Amino acid sequence: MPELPQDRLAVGAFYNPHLAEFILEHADLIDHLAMADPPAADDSFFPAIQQSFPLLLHDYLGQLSDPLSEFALSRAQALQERYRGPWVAEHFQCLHTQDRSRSLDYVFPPLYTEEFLDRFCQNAEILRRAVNAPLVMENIPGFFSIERAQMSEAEFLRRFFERTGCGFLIDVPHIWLAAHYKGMDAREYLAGFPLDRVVEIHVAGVEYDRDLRGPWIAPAPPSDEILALARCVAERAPELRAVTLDIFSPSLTAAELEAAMRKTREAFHTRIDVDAGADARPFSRSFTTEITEDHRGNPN
Amino acid sequence: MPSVSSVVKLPKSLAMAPASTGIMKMPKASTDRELQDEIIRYLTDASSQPAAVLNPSEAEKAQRFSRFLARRYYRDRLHRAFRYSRNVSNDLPARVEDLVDSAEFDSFLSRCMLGSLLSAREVGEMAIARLLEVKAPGPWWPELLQYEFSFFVQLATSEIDTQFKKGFPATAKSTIVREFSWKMPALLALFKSGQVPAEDLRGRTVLLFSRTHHGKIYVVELDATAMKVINAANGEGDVVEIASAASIPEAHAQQILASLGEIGAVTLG
Repeated sequence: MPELPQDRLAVGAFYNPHLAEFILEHADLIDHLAMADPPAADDSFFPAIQQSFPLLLHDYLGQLSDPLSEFALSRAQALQERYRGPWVAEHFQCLHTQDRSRSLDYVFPPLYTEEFLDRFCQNAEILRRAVNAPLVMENIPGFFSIERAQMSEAEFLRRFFERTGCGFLIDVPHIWLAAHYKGMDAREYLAGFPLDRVVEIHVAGVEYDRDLRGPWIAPAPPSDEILALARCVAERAPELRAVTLDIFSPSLTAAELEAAMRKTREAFHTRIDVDAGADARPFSRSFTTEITEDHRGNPN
Repeated sequence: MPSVSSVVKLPKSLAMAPASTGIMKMPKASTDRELQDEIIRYLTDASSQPAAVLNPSEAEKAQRFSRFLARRYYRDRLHRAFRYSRNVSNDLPARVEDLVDSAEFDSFLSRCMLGSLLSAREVGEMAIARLLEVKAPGPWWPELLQYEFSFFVQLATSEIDTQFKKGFPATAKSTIVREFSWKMPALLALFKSGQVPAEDLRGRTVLLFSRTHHGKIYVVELDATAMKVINAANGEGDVVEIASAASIPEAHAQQILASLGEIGAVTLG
């Protein structure tokens, strides 16, 4: 099973099955692949893909605001056993109701409150144990404000990472958007986040949306501004191992993927070596903090 | 994301469930988690009232976010469900998923309940109406569109059945059983590779479309016995009565119901 490069930052992409041939032919351009969905049964390229690239589990495993079902935990475990990636990713999101009668079918942040913090800490630990691998968590932007919040997004994440020892998968366009809709400068917004916990960076573009009357997440190449912000994160992230181009869409063409990968690699062309001390310190050491609180929430 | 099975043979069947989704009354949130549910309901149900924690300007932004979510959701489902028609027709004026940018869809947004059966049917019907306007590439065109409509309804419905009586199997709300006058599995195999059938593939086929609680979608071919079982699974009779209605031993009925339960076509209670 291929592994991430140990002596330099890995720059990879999401696995877009319709571009499998292109991906296989460009192993020099793509260091790793994030898996948003399990491969289709008739994906004849996948065995070769798995032999050629380290795979990062980035599927929807469940929302950590609620306890995961046995089904969800087993599925997560099976996927990780299949991919054997260096870590498993989930999101700071709460997108369906507890009775599951309603779902947004889209990333949506939780209320930043003590109650949700307890829920996320508790369930993250359960998921981490189930997959038997380090867990990294990705930030999700909000589009509107809710008066119930008890802390900022940055504080919520910082306290979560302190309590769980999980790694931070920082999605830079998400940070940019969250700052944009708060009317803040992105670097100023970024200042409160625990960048020392960052293990992986996501980069992508944003596009205007007519309903939102402003920019939002889009399967587009990262702009210079996003890449500059990502560089700013990378310089403050001693545990950083990978940068992933977060474009996962059937409309993505090979030419677009190639251009976006080249641009991303170029932005990180200065080798960002893994900290020398960290070489001897397995990444999983960051994940040994035990959760002592018991704030189990409702069934998933 | 739901995964999609290919057409498989399975000895079972169904009846179309009534399309019903009432307006959900907002429960009063006492915990943060309940409040989050309230917000999710507001974002998914165009007829609901804004949560108290949203001031007027934020409620307006939330409403715009709700429209964004709906457009994104149905665009994705239309693209995935109407894939055969996209492959075989050269006369499509636009991609069917572009209907989410139409005035007709804007009007639908004012009554949309994201993931409901009713909304899925309405959007699916909009898609069919558009596709029936183009020059039919073959006599099987209307039936292909009905196949894709039935598939779309499964993809675009996340509603779960909550009202059933224990011990009284009932057909799941979104399950569809449809009779086709073409051999759909053979036709679809050709369409998948962009080919048009050279031989006459007419022939009666009964297909059941269902989805599991976890979002996996099944299309299965029904035989006569399974059809009788699913027709009898109306939530009013137990296994003994269903077996009697289907004229089969109880153990056989139980076996068929279990298989139908596994693919989400029947709620076993």
